[in-house]
Order: sequence, then C-alpha cells, then structure tokens
Amino acid sequence: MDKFLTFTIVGLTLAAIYAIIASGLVLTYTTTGIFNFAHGAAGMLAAFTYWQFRFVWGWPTPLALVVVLLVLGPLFGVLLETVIMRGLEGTTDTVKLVVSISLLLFMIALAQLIWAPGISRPLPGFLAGNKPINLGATTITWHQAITIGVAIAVAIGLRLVLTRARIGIAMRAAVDDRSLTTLNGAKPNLVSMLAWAMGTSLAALGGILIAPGPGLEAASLSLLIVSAYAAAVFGRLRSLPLTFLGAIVIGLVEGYLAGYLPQNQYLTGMRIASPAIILFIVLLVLPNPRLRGRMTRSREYFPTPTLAGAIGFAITVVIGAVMLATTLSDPDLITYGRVFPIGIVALSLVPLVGFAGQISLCQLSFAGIGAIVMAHLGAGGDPIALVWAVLIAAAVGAVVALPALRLSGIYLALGTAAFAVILDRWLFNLPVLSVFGLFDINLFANGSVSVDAIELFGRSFDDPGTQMIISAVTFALVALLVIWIRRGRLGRRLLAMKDSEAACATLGLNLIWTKLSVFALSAGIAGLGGALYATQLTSIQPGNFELVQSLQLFAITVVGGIGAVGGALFAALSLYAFLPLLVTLWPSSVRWVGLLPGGAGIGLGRNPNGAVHDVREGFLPLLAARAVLAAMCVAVAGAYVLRLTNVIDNWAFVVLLILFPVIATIAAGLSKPRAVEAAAGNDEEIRDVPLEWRGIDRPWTKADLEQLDRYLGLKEMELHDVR
Amino acid sequence: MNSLELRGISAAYDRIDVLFDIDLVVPEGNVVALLGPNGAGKSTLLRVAAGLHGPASGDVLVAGRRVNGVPPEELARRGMCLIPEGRGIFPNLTVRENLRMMTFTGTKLSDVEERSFIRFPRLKERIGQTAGTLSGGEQQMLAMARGLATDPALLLLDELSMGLAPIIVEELYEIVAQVAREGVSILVVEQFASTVLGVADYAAILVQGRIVRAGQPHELAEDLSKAYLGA
Ligand SMILES: Nc1ncnc2c1ncn2[C@@H]1O[C@H](COP(=O)(O)OP(=O)(O)OP(=O)(O)O)[C@@H](O)[C@H]1O
Ligand SMILES: [Mg+2]
Repeated sequence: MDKFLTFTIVGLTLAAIYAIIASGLVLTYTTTGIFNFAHGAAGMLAAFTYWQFRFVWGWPTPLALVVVLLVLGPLFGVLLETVIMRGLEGTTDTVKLVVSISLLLFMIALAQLIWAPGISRPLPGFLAGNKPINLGATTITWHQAITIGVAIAVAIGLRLVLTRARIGIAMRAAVDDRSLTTLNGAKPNLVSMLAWAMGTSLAALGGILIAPGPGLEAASLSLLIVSAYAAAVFGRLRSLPLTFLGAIVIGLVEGYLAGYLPQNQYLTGMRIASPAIILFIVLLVLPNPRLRGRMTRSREYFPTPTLAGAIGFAITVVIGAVMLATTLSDPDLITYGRVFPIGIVALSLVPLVGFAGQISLCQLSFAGIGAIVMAHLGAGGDPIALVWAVLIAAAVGAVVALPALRLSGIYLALGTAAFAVILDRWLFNLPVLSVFGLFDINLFANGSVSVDAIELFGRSFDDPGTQMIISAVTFALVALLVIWIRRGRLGRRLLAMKDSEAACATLGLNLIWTKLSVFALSAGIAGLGGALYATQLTSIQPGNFELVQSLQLFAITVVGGIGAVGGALFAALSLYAFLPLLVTLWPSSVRWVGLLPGGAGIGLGRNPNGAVHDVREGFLPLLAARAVLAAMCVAVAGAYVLRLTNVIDNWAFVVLLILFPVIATIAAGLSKPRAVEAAAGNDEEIRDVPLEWRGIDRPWTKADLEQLDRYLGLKEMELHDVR
Repeated sequence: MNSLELRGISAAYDRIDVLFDIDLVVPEGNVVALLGPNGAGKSTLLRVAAGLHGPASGDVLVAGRRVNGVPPEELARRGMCLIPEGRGIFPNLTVRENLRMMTFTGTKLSDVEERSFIRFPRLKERIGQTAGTLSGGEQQMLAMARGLATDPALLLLDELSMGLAPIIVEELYEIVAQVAREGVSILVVEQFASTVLGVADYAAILVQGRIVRAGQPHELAEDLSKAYLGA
C-alpha cells in the first residue's frame, strides 16, 4: 500500500507537470492553429536559464523565477508569435510543421552552444533541503507538493482568465471565428500575442518543474515533454479540461510503470520510451480527428519534372560522384560519402510528403531497420541483403501505416515521431532476444554491429570511392523511380489525395491502398538508403538513426523543396557535405554550425516552394542555351582532367567547379531572349498554368479537357457525349 | 455627408475577379438595399467595406475619410458594424460571453445587455446557454444584437433571413426599420427583395460583380425579376 501511494504521488507530480505544459500547447494551438513542436524546447531553455540565474549567478529563487516566468518567457512567446508564427498564415500543414520543428532544432543547438553538453549541472528541486512532508502512510517531498499545488493553481487561473477576462474570452472566440472577433473590435494580433506569451510561460514553468528529475540535457529534455503532447492530444488539442484529464491518466500510468514494471533488461528501455508509447496509443484509440476535407489553398506549387530533366539530373549526380571518388582522399570520402545514402533516405520523403502530403518523422528509423538487415543478412557481403533491407523496411512501413491511416496532418506527424522514439529509445537498444529458443532477434546487439562491404562476383566493394559511386548510382536510379512515379498514375493519385482526401474518396479512389502503398514504398526506399549507409559506416549504432536526425532531414528536405528530387539532394548535400566542409574550412564554426539547419528551416515560411525551385529558375536560361551548356561541360571535363593529372589541386578544382556554372549562367543570360523563347516553345507542359487555373488564366482547349479526363480517370466514361 | 462611399472598387480572390469598378453610396441616415443573385459578389462587397478584404483597386470612404488599409477592428471601433452572412456568433461561447465580446468597441457591458434584452427578451432567458445550441432564429437575434447594442453609425447586414422562418424574418426587419428611424445608416444585403424593399430608401442590383441598376425601390421592381432570371 505504501508503495502504491508513493508511486501515485510520483504519477500525480508528473501529471501536474504535463498538465501545465500541455495547457500552454493547447492555448497556442487553438488560438493560432500552429502546433508548436518547439514548445518543450522552450521549457528546456527556461530550465537552463533558471539554473544559470539561480545557481551560477546566485540570484534569490523568487527573483530568478519572476524573471524567467513573468519576463523572459512571455517576451520570448511574443517574439515567436510576431517574428515567426504570424507569417505562417495560409501555408500548408507541412510548412508550419517544418518551421516549428526547425525551431526545436535551433533551440537545442542554442542551448548546447551556451551550455556546453557533457557537463553535470545539478538542479535541485524546490526546498530540496527540507524534510519531506509526512502523510502517514507515505511521504511527499516539497517539490512534489509544490508541483501539484502549482498545477491546481494553473488550472484555476486559466479557467478564470478564459471565462472571466474579456481578452481571455476573445482568445476562445478567436478559436471559433477569427475574423468575427475583429468585427467585434478585438485586436487579433493582441489576442495571438497574449496566447503565445501565456503558452510559453506555461512551458517555462513546466520545464523548471520537470528538469530536476531527468537533469539538464538539452535534447532529451526537449523531447521528454512528448508525454505532455500526449496529454494535449487527449484533449484533441482543443479542450483544456480533457487535457488535464489526459495528463492525470498519462502521469499515473508512467508513475505505476516506474513502480511496478519488473526490473528486466528488456523493459528498462520501455520505461524510457513509455511517453511515446502512450502517445502512440492515445492517437490510435481516440476517435478519428475527422477527415481533412477543408481545402487549404497553399502557396506551394511543384511543376511536373520533364523526362530530359530527370535523366540530366541522374547523369549529373553520377558524374559528380565519379569526380569526387577519384579526387578526394579516403578520410574525406568517408565523410562526404554519406551524402548519397542519406540522400536516398531524403528521397523517400518526396513521394510520401511531397506528393501524398503524408507527414512522416521516422524515415531514419526505417533506414535503421534497413541497416540492421544489411548488418545481419549481409554478413559476408551478400548483395541480396539489399533486397531484404528494402522488403523488410517496406513491410515495417506498411505496419506503421496501418494505424496511421486514420491520422492526418499534425496527428500523423506526432504518431510517426512517437514511433521513432519507441525505436531509438527502446527497441534499438534491446539485447539479443531469443524467441522461444527457436531463433534470436538481434538488432544492435546492445551496442553496435559491424557491417560487411558488399561483395559481387568475388570482388569486395570495400574502398570508400567505389562505395560512394555505388550509392550515387543507386541514388540516381531511385530519383528516376520517384520521377517516374510522379509522372504516372500513382503520382496523380497521390497528388489528388494531398489536395483533398474527401474529394478523392467520393471519386472512388481507394485511400487505404493508396496510403499503404506510398508508406511502404517510402519506407522501402529509406531502408535501401539505410542499408547503403550501413556499408559505408562499416559499424552502426542506434545513435545513427535517431529522431532528431529524422527531424533535421525532414526539415531541410522541405527547405530544398519536398516536391522534387532536387530537394532531397539539397538536404543531403547541405547536412552532410556543406556543414562538414564549413567546419573544415573554418574550424571555429563548429560551435555554432548546429544552429544552421534550424535557422534554415525557420526561414522556410518565406519560400514554401523550396530553395531548389529558385535555383532551378536561376539556371533555366542556361539549360535552354544548349551551346553555352555544352561549352560548360567541356570546361568542367577539362578541369577534371587537369585535376587527375595533378596539374591543379583539389581547392583549385573546387573553385573552377563553382566558377564555370556561374559564368555559364551569366553567358546564357546575355543570350537570353532567343534562348528563352525557344524554351517556351519546347516545354509547353511545365511552363503552362496549373490545371485548376486553365479556363481562368487562358481559354480551355480540347487538349486540356483530355488531360483533365486523364487526371480524373474518366477515360472510359462517356463524358464527351454528355458535353 | 455619406456614411459610406465606395469609389471604383474592384476585388478578387486569388486570381478570380469578383467585383468590377463598383460605385455605391450610403447617405447618412438612409437604408440602402443591395440585391442580386447568388455569387454576385454582395458579401464580398460588404467584406471590402468592413476592411476584411482589401480591394484590388478603388477607395472606401467612411464618413468622408478614406479608410483603405484600415484594419477591421479599427473600423469597428469607429462605428462600423458588419453582421456577416451565416450566424455571426461564437458558437462555443455562452450568450453572456458573446455579449461580452460586443464591449470591445467601447460600450459598457450593462448597456450592451440592456439594449439587447429590450429588443430580444428571449436572449435574457438563455444567457448561460452555449450559443451554438440556440435555435437558428435565436442565433440570428444574438448576432443582430451587436448591431443594436454597440450603437454603430453604420450598419452592414448580410442576409439576415438566411435559413429562417418568414415570421422571424419579418420581426428582424421590423427591428431594422426601427434602427433606421433612429438615424443609423444601413447597407443591407438580401436575396429576397420583397422583405427588404419595404424598408429601403434606395436599392441597387448587383449581377456578376457589376451594379446593373440603382434607384428608388419602386423603380427597380421590374428590373429585379430580370436580374434573378438572368435575362
Ligand atoms: N474565400 C473565397 N475564395 C475564393 N472565391 C470566393 C471566396 N469567397 C467568395 N468567392 C467567390 O466570389 C464570388 C462572389 O461571392 P460572394 O460571397 O460575394 O457572393 P454573394 O453575392 O454574397 O452570394 P450569396 O448570395 O450566395 O451569398 C463567388 O463566385 C464565390 O465563389
Ligand atoms: Mg453572400
């Protein structure tokens, strides 16, 4: 009985913290429609700041608390709202998500920049020196009592503000109908700012209360708050009372798990992953958060890739890889060789997120599965293991997709993130698991496993150069596959599904199969990337496939342009070539280089089509001016020969590689008028207005009608006769 | 002095043009009816006037001052009151909280309640009820209450009658007539002309984004049938 009470108190304390954090999340989500992934990170930053004030600078506790909770917290919230979130109105779910995920990455990097990781920073709970309060059967620490008391005060306070204060009523009114609040004369920006100020302050409060338990560590503290997200989901991100109820259920479950789960090497990880497991279950059992029938007219628009462009892209990638493989030293090859396998993982996002609009934050988890398969089945270099890696990852993808089918938008993102956490916190860390003594399941063998190089026809491809070329060729082939899908029937279905699930369902499209197949396809591609990644790393561990890396890859692929294969290459190049290169050239940048991916993602709100789109626009005149293009290729080839014959060194080669396309683009720009006209004639299809604007921007033609019929799959119907 | 004047207003959603070079005035103390078929752009015109939707070109003048770009909450504070199409209420707020929202333009809560309850005693009985659970007529009364309680100088009404029984529509327009007699300028959009022409001093017919006819109500009667039948 004592034990039960003790862990009830543990659970209620957790519940109190989750309730505080989750209510802040709900507040910002309902009033501005943006799910703030970085909400937990704000709490993390607050905990660090409080620690700095209180224990490094020695401020009195009340002063430190007032400054963090009532000054910095609200100010930071207002800053987020005015500078970042306000610009996101009218963008898609994906863009909103990327911006808040990037904010999370940025804040973790910022915390690590200010408070170097790896140093112990003890943060005692409140009144930790005092004796626990005796409750008869059990005791409760002051920190626990204060935490529970604060949560009750927050609940009462929020209720008062939201039902008694006029501005609080206006916050709830804005949830119902934002423009009507303005007709009433309420200032909508003021309402949003207040919501973010209060929300961030609540996150800060929760962060300070929770940090003494797990300790001050930026990444885990930011993600630990997943449980609070589960509580918010319990309240469907809208209802505060349900959110509090959810927090109590989740807190108690966690408390009892801590108390009663048997001590066992298989289950320790489960305790760490339990918030994610609970979130996953909550997402599955909650009544369906309705089909997304509402049209969000987005600012993004991805053109159909042309066949010539696709082949050109693939050839360029392979040639580039060959050049790198023959000029770089082995250590450099190992560093930069990661670009292509990671690029394949990024490619897996293009059909799933870019075409189908299904968000997945666990692509590196699928890659991890592919890597494990490669390590075990590919022992000795068996290339068939690559096939198994694809198939098994695809099967797992389909299994994840099954429960995810009923989720969309932010709920799907949370579900896949929870899945990633379950894998990297628990399953990937499992020791060898013997199934009824029949066979062993051995994932990372409780640490790391080595991976053999692929062997074909008695030749082992174990040098980094060859491995890089293999990965690059695979990348090019997968890119062609993705483009082929985009141009085909499946691609059109996926795009249609992204535009409106409800409309597709009424057109008789089988949503379940479409979703399942795109999830499996995407997971299979990620598994392939992971398998190749594993052979290049030669030894893999769970840390190679963590949620944070999935988040980074997701965010930067969207920044590059998630609707096109170029976006995937952009992401892999920026994260695994540009950043290491920057650190090599400028060693002191290693301190702040981690801020860049997050920073880039935060800037996305300004350009939802992605950076590659702009790059492509910039190069269009060059692509059209065939003579200049040919001259440039000759020049690049010449530089390559000079490099191979050691006439010039790597640096000069790189400079030339950058210089030639720039010069060529300028040259093409000078001869532009002729060239662009020619291009306009040739690529009618890509330069034309999008389908839905035909008849508005220019008159309908018979060809348009046929194309529309094809899009809608009406070929067999007698539509023309009706007309 | 004109309470509202639209000069050469054009408006569009994305790339769909909806209004073309509209000129319209609401003289002070007058009721102007705006009629027209579905999709003509009536609601858009009111949204432009209220500052909810920026015009592509043209000027909006309120009490003689150009107000292009002035945000809607500011216009509301200067005495403009748009009761939008559909139910202009907050369904998840109680009736009392809905009334509380009407105080942002500077009217005291006690005044808001008093003025609303005189016209619509039924709202007083339902004060604690969630507005979304009121009947359609009661919801429209609650929406309309803002036009009475906040003492506006210019009232814009968008299809008060939508989905309501004829007897309730008649009640509502009686109240509109009373408000008009108190000197409030009113621009009222209505699909069903007969109800509104009785109250209006002037009327205009909007078809496909253009004002095709304007004048006194009796002059318009026969043009109306043409406009609706699309002849
Ligand atoms: N938010 C919007 N986005 C795109 N088009 C819109 C939007 N709102 C209205 N429209 C279009 O603008 C045109 C005019 O709409 P509006 O609502 O002003 O018409 P209305 O005269 O009020 O019609 P009704 O009598 O049915 O209320 C319509 O063709 C409509 O489809
Ligand atoms: Mg209308």
